[in-house]
Amino acid sequence: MNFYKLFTGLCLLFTSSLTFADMSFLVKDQNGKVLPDVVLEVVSDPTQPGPDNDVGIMDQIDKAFVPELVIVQKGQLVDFPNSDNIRHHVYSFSPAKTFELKLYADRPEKPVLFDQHGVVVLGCNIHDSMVGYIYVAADKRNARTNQQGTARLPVTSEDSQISVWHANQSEGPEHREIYTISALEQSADKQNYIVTLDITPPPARDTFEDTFRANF
Amino acid sequence: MRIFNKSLRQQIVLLLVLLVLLTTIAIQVTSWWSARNFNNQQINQQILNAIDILTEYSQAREELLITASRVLTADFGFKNAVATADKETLKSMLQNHGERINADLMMLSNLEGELIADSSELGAPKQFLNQLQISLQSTPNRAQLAVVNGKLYQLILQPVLAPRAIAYTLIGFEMDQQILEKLTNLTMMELSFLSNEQVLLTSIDTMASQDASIDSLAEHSVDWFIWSRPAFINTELRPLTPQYDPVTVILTADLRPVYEEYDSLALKIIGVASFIMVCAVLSGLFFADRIVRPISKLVGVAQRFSQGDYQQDIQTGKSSSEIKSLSNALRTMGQDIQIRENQITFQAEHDGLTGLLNAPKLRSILERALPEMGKSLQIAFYIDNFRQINDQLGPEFADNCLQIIARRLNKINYPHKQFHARMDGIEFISVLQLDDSHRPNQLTDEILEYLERPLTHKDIELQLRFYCGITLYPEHGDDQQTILRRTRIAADYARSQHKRLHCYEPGQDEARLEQLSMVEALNAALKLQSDELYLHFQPKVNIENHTVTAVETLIRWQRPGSGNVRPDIFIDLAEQAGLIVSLTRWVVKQTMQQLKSWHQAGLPLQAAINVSAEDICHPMFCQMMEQSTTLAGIAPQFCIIEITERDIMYDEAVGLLTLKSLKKMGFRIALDDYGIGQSTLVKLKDLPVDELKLDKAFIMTLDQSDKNQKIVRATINMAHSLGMKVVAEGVENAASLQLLKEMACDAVQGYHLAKPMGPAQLEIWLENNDAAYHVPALAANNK
Repeated sequence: MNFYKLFTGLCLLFTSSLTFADMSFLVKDQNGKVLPDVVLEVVSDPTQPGPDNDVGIMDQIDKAFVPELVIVQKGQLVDFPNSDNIRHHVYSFSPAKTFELKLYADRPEKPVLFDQHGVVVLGCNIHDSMVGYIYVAADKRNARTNQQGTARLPVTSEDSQISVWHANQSEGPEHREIYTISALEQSADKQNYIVTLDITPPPARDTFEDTFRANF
Repeated sequence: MRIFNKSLRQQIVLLLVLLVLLTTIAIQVTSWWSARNFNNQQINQQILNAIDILTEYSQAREELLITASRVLTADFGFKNAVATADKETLKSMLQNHGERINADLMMLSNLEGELIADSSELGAPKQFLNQLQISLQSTPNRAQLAVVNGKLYQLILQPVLAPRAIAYTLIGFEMDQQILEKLTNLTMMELSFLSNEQVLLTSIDTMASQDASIDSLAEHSVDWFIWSRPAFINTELRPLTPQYDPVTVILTADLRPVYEEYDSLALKIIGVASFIMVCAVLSGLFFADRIVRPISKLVGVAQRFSQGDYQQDIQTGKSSSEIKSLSNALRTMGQDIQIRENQITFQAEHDGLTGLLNAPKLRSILERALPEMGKSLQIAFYIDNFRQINDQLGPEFADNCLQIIARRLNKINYPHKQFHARMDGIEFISVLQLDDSHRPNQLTDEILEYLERPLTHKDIELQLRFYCGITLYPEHGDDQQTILRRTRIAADYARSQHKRLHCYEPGQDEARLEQLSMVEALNAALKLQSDELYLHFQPKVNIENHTVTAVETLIRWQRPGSGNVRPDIFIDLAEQAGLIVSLTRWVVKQTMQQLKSWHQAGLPLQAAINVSAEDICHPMFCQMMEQSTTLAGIAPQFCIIEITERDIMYDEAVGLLTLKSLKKMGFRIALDDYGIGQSTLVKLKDLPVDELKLDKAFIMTLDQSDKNQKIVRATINMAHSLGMKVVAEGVENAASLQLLKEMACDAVQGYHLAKPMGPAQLEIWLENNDAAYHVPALAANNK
């Protein structure tokens, strides 16, 4: 059911970009490596709010948030079902949404409303290794790069501005970089606008065992 | 080297002391060396251990602290507060949470390194915090030693994860004296923490202050005698620490306890060594005494040896075997020296050939023995013709004769004291004690008879004859010197008179003394070339033509204070005293000078010069004659050498050879005193003689003796028939001259014609008698 809704949403997004003169973007890191799971969003006026979607799902399977990244429209609800047979304590101290779902199993009492534009970093109080991201979009024109690092946006003018976000940006997980499209470099075949991000992978989610080293 | 001049005792003690000293030094050095090596090893091991301990401890503590801080920062409340709370809340929270883990420093900073909250209100500047954060971020999950506000901390940086990093917590644990002490106890070494060369923290209490520089730590030393020993060994460690302000750990091994231990050991060794040295000196003195005492004893023995005492009982007692063998060697040496000394004494006191006493010994014996004996007989012996025995039978044979006689002397059986000696110049001398029953002459006769018994040696039988002189003590002298001298004088007299036995007659000694003084005076006269000696010449007149062709040179001596000395006396003395060669040389020279002046004055005279046996036996005689004539420019023909037959026969071979050489050179030879003595006709025919001089014994009484006339006539005839001329000496009257003329004697000489006279007188005489005896002109002179 959820999957179906998402699929329908994506199809819609795809058909609408066809409707307008779509622009293609290629996102790379500072080393030239293509970056998947980068969220691009048009931020220039006027904003085109998305439709009232169904409740978003951020599941927890095997002590991990599934999917790791969920993109929702501003004002959308997200449910945090617990598919593990252990309890989780989901929280976020992000300014876009600070909340806490104290130890629960199965399903919280009610979904959480995300009514502010921004990025919400999710954690579990009792499982430090669990990290998840919820991108709260203000405009329906947003896209997520595929495994080839490309995404298309239905943008008509090169004067439009876009925001670019990735979880491992050096500036922090809640930072979004704003670009004017005309200032972006184009690829040699003029197919793509190229966006380069500075990436710093976070240190591996260490455990206590890591600290017991053999040497001084 | 002075050390070798010291006594044995000193040397032994010195040796022992040196040995002990050397041993002590060797032990000291060895123990010091091994102790040093051992200590160095120990200290190095200690340092390694300390480093291990320190590392282990630091790791454990670091892990503990990191774990604590991680737990702290993972606390949800903490995260919640960091994400949401205000500054004051955060500060109080930091204090609260810091106390949970006993942290001394808690700071919160954002991801950019800006301070958010500080529990200890240190107010560290932003730049410092940034540096620290960067340094700590470069070594995640590690603690670093760093200085904050002058204090030393173990610092840990922990991110606040929600779940991504939203801030950093800086947690610090101060390194204080307590921890230092703990570490010091664990490592058993002193520890110091330094930053910028400044000591932050140290466990060494000798340090004057904690601000003291690292240099003073390294250079700190302990004085020891004249050296100073390093007090510490330092090892530097660099823990994990910020690069901009590194902290260094100095591990210090304190060497002072080691030194103390070693010093006490050294003191003990010195103490023991001193004790041993005292023992060594004492035992050295003891042993030296044992060696030195017998040596001193032996030195005494040797000193008594030098005084001539060789018969000593050498007590060796309990001495060592070396000393005993030395004593034995000394004893043997003493005995050997005694034997050799006896030999030497015997040789010194006895004649080497015959074994009889020698003269000095006899004299020293007689010195005492003569008064003891009271009366004694002294006999001096000459062996007749001993010179001929020596010449004809060889010196070995002669020596044997002497030995045989010596044996006979020793065998004389006589009841009283008797001494027999061999004396220089005379052959033997015997001294016999006399009693009333022995008559000296009879005793001497008996002894001579015994000695004159024929002796046989090497198949030659020989009978020796002796000339003896005897004296009686004390009649003829009352001391050994006088009596021996007089005995000798008596023997000399017996020999000169060819008497078998002559008893000393009082006055002979004085006569001999007179002779001696005469010899001295003659010798002086010869040497000084004084006028005391002068020549007289007696003309030889040729009977046939009354010419004077030659003169006989006769020496005269005007002795001051004594007047004219008879020529036969002083010539005899000169012969005995060995002066005759010099005398003859003087006569020859003077004669040649005289001849030279006569020849220059137109008197071509010949001169006859008397020579003796010794002259013609002298190896330089011919040369002397030649030189003298050449020097004066006189031809040898003008020189007639007159010699008696007896003198020629003295050493016949040499005499004949000399005469022949002289004749060859041109000298003329005349046989003097012919007719008496040893004239033999057998020899006469072989002699290179030009003329015979008939002895004056025949001529002086020629006119009164019929027998003499017959002999003279026969001799003249014989001489003429042998081709010799005849000269008659001692013509004292006209009758004898007439007889000689009749007998055809060639020349005459005598008082009847002319006495011997000085050259001036001769010249006058020649002038006065020119009518009767003229000197023929040189040209007329034949031969």
